[in-house]
Amino acid sequence: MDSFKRLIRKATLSYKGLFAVMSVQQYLMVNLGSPLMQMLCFTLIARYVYGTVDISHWFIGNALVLTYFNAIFGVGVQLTQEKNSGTLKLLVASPSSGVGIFLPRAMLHIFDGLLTVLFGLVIGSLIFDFYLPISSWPAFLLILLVASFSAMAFGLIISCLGLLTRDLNLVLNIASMAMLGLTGANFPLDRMPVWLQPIGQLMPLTRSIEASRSLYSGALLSDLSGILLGEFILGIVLMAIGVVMFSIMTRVAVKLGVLEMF
Amino acid sequence: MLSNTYPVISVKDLKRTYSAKIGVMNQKKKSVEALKGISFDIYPGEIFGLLGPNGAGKTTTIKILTTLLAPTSGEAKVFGYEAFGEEKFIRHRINFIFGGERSLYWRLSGEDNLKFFADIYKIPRSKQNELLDCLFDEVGLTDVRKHKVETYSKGMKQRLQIARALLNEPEVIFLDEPSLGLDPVAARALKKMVRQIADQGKTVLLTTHYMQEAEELCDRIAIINDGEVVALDTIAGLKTIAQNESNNDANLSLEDIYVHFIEGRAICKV
Repeated sequence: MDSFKRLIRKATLSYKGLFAVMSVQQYLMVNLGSPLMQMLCFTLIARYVYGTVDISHWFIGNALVLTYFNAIFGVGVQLTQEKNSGTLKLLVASPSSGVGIFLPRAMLHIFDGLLTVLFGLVIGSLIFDFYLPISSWPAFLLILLVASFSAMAFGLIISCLGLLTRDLNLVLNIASMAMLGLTGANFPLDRMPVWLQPIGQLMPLTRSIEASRSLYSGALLSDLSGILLGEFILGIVLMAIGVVMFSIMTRVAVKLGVLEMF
Repeated sequence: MLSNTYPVISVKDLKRTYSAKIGVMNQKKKSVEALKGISFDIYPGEIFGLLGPNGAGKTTTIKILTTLLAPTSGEAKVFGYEAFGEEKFIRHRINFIFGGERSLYWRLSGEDNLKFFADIYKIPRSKQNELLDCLFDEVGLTDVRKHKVETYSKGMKQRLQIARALLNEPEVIFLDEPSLGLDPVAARALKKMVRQIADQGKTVLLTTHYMQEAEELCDRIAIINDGEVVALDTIAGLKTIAQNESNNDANLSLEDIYVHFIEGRAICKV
């Protein structure tokens, strides 16, 4: 129980200390405004390109892909932020393991990402007449939760790179563009170059986007269990890679002397 | 007396070289030797001062001993364990403060900062409340413990850092220029705190540019210059060496001694 309480407090304090916005206006602008504008932009482009009236297919994809904001710009930059605030060395030289430091930080971002998507769906339903029957919402929320989990696990891998470099922006941009472009949110995976398709299958969110579109088209959750399990397992694998990378890269950073910004 | 006990910190022929790349297209590798083979021992309960000019290698030494930097060669042991390779036997028994205002979460309150690090140091929650009360009282921040750190003055931030460093009841504390930028009153309060820490039987490794601070606090001092230890003794011992070498019987201050070893004498390795 003590460990669980410690985990929860570490999660909330590290989120509050590094990421949490300080006012309602800031939250609306940064956590909601920017992602939602992006969702509207890509959905309207899809309407123009594909020439369809019902763009729910693309709207759903773009709503789910919003989780990448928290994954990349929340979880992905956490170790760089620690480096900037001079606290990374305190964490690394503490008795806590990489898992103890690393994982609690992703927890709140999972729920924050989920909230962003839900806001996106509300806005979308107002603008694009998106409608999902009430009976499908529990299944849809489950898909969102799994999607957000695997996206944050991907963010953990990105954040490890912050141990070695101070110039993380290049990586962040590539990673965020990859999530926008290779997950099927905006472009059909089967129309991509053959060599790119396997990369799309290895990306987080690809399966969740497919599952949520199927659910919208009338599939039952039981029909989607396989694909959802695949996304969850991918999240676990990405998380395990992140934890191993943290351990290896911390050691490399200690050898190179790059744990601190200055 | 000290040499009869085992050193809590043992440094032997410690070297550290940093590599950097220069240029954009035709990059050239440049090496900087920050430590050129320093040696010293620190014994339990000592306040050991490490003095030297900027870039002499003081912070590099502390980073190695706090397990944050790997040595290029030589030996750096804390409690008999290698600082690189056996960190897990060291980390829960030490803590450190680097000068300046960073190393805290400014958006959190002082209390939340300590709670976070108490969890990181796996201090049982049942003990945390009493421990935090005691630490806030010790560093004189009880009244502002719920205020955000960004509202603290530099001196208050430094005192909070001391409270953070005492959370895990460390046996050894590393203080790297803790009084950097503090006003005289805050610096005096900090000195008092360091003395209290030592009185509790903890070992302190202190680096500073303030000679008066070193003179008042340190049991022994190593003067380090350009990656080499150029003198190591008690203040009285250093004074005698400096007087003999300079044929000067005047009552030398620590500043005179420091200048003598840094500028006025050929390097004599210890």
